[in-house]
Amino acid sequence: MLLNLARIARYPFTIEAQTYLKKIGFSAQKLQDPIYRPVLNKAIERIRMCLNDDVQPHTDVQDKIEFLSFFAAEALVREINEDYLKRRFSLFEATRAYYTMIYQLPDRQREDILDIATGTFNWDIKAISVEISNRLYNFAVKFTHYLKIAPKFHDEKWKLVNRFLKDGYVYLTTEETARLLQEEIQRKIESDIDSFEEDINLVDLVKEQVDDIISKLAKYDVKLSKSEIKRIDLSKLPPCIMKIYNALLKGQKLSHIERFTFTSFMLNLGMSADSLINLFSQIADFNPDKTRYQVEHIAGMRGSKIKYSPPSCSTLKTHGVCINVECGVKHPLSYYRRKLKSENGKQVS
Amino acid sequence: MESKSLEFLKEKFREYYTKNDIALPRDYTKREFGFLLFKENVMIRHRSFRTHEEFMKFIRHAVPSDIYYSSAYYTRPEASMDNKGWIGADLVFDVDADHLPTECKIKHDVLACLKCGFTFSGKGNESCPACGGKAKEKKWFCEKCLDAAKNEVLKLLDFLFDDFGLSSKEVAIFFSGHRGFHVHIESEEVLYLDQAARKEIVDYIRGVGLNLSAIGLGSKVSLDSYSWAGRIARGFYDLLLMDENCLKKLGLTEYDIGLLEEERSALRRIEMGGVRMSRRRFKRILQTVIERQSANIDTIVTTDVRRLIRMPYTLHGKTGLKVMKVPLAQFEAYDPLKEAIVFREKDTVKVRVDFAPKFRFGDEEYGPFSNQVVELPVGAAVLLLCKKAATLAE
Repeated sequence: MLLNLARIARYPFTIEAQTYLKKIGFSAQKLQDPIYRPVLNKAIERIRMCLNDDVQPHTDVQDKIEFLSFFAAEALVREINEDYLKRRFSLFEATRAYYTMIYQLPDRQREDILDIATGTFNWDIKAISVEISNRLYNFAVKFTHYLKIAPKFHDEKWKLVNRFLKDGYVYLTTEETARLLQEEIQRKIESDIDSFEEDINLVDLVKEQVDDIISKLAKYDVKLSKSEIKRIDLSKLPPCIMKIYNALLKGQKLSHIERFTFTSFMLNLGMSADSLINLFSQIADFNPDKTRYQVEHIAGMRGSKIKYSPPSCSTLKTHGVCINVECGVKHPLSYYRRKLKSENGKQVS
Repeated sequence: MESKSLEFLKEKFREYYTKNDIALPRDYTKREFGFLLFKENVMIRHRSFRTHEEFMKFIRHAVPSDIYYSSAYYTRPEASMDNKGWIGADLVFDVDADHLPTECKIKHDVLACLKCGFTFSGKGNESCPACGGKAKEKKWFCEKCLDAAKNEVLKLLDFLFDDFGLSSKEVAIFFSGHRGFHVHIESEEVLYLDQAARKEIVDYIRGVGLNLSAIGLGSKVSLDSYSWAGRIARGFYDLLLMDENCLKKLGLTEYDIGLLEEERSALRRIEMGGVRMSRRRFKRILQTVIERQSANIDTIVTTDVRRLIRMPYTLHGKTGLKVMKVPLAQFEAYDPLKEAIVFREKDTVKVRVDFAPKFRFGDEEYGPFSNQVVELPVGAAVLLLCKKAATLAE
C-alpha cells in the first residue's frame, strides 16, 4: 500500500498515520528521550494554541517534528487528565483538520476527504458532481452515517428533511462534508486519548509549562463555581420559571410538567431538595411525603438514579409552559447562565 | 369479559397456536417478549426464550390474547429496563387508521355507556345522554379505513425505496390484525441508528421542519427534483390540476384557490420545467401539499428504540385476525378482511350482540345488529367476542 506521507502529515489522527507510526517504531515511551525534546516543546505549543481559540489552517508541513508533536500532545493531554482540556484539544485539532481539508485545491480536497472518510471512519461515501439551485454537491453520504452526526447540529439546514436524499445517499457540499468529518475527527481524538495505554511520565520533563497550562484552564472553565450555586439569583430566572415561581408563592396548583420543569431547573442550580419541598408546601393540597418522593426522584436520589435536566425550550413551547417572550435561548438553564456571565463581565471591566 | 366467552376465545386461540408453529423473528434470543392475557389486565414483560420450542411451549400453555416482542436487541432481555444492555434495534413503522381522518369513522365508531349500555356517537369524553354514566369508545374498522391506511403505507414505501434507498428485500409489511399495517426493516445498516437519528427519519417522512430555502425552493424547482423539493413541485402540480370542489374539500380558501387559478394559466411554465413558489402567499397551499405528500406514520413507534411491537403471525386479541405478512407485490390488492381470517370453519355459534355496525367478513356481509341473538360462523363470532361487542349465547 502506497503511503502518502504528505497526507499523513496533514492529518495525523488518521489510521494511516497511526499505522505509519507503528511502522517506524515510534511510541510515546521514546518521547522521554532527550533527543525528542523539540517534539515535546512543539506539543506544548500545540496545547497552548488550543486554549487560545486561534485556529490556523495547517500548512503543508512535512516536518517530522510537527508530525510527531501531535502524538506527544495527545500523550501529554492524557497524562494531565483534565476533561476540559481533552475536549478543547480535540476540538482544536479537529477544526484545524477541517480548514486543512477545505483549503486544499479541489482535486486534493476530494482525495483527502474520501481518504479520511473511508480509510479512518468507514463511511459509505461517493464523490459526485451535481448542481441543484446554484449549489454544487460534491459528495453523497449514506444516510446512516449522516444521521450519526448531523442531528447534533442545530441549524435547520442539517435536518434530513431539508436535504437532498436519493437512493439512501444525502447530498453534501464539500464544506458540509468536511464539517461532518470534523465531528468524527473530534470524537476519534477524544477516544484515542482516552484509550491511551502506555505508562509514561512526560509531565515531569516539562513541569513548568504544564503548570502554566493548568492555571489557564481554570480561567476558561465555564462550570458554575460553588459560590455561585449557593446564591440563586432570582432576578436572573428565565420568565417561564419566574411565572411558575410566582404561582407557587401564591399557592396555586401547578401542572405536572410545570412542577417537573421548576424542580429540575432549581435542582440543577444547586437548590437543595429540602428548600424546594419547603417552597411546594405553599400549595393547597400539599402532600409532604409525595412531594419529597417526587423531588428526590428528579434529583436522582431514588430508583434509577438519573439526575434529570429541565426540558428544552422547544418542549416547553409544545406544552404551553413557555410564555413566548423570545428569550433567544434554546434551554432555560442557558438563560440563567447567560445572565450570570454578562453580569460577571460587567464587574470585571 | 364474562367467563363463558373468555373460555371460548381462549380455546380457539389455543387451537391456533397448537396447530401452527409461529416463526420467531431474527435473533430472538436477544429480544424481550411481552404478553397480554385474556383474563388479567396486566402485561407480562421481560421474558426471553432460548429456543423456539421453549417459546411455543409457553404460548400453548398460557394462550395469550396478544403477543409482542421488542424491536430492540439486548444482551440481557430479561433484565429490568436499565440493565438490559441495548445493542441495536430494527427500524419499524406503524400506520394505524386510528390516526387517519376517515369519513367512515362517524358511521362505525361509537361510544357505549358502561352503565346502561346505550350506544351513541361522539368524540371522547362525553357522558351517556340516556343515564349520564361513563362511556367507553368502541371502534370498528372497515374497508375504507384500511384503504386509507394502505394509501399511507404506499407513500411510506415510496420514501423508503426512492429516498432511503432500501430494497424490497429489506422491507417487510404486516397487517396489524386490526386497523393498520406495520413495516419492519431488519437490515444491518439501520440497527445502530439512535433515537435522534430515528426522529430525523420520522420528521423526513412527515415533512416536519421543512425549510424551503434550504432545499432550493426559493425560486424554481422542477418536477423531477429529488426528495422534498420534487415532492412539493409534484404536489403543487397535482393541485393545479384539481377542480374547485376538490380544492375546497382539502380546506383551501377562496384566496388560495384564486392563487392557484393564476398559476394554472401559466401552466406552460411548469411544463417547461419549473414551478415558481413565492413562499409567503402560498403558505396554506404549501401546507396542504406537504400533508398530502407526507406519510402519516406513528411518530412514537419509530422513534422509540425500546419499543414492544406486535409479533408477526400471532393473533390480535381484539379481532382474532392474524398479523399476516403481506408480500409487496400483493399489497395493493391485499384484503385483510378475507386473507387474515384464521377461523374459517363453516360451523356456527350463537352470540348475543350488543351493537355491531354492518361489517364484511370474508365474502359475506353481516349486521347491523343491536341487542339481539344471532347465529354466526365461528370466525365472525370470534371477531365480535374479541371486540367485546357480543357475548356467547349458548
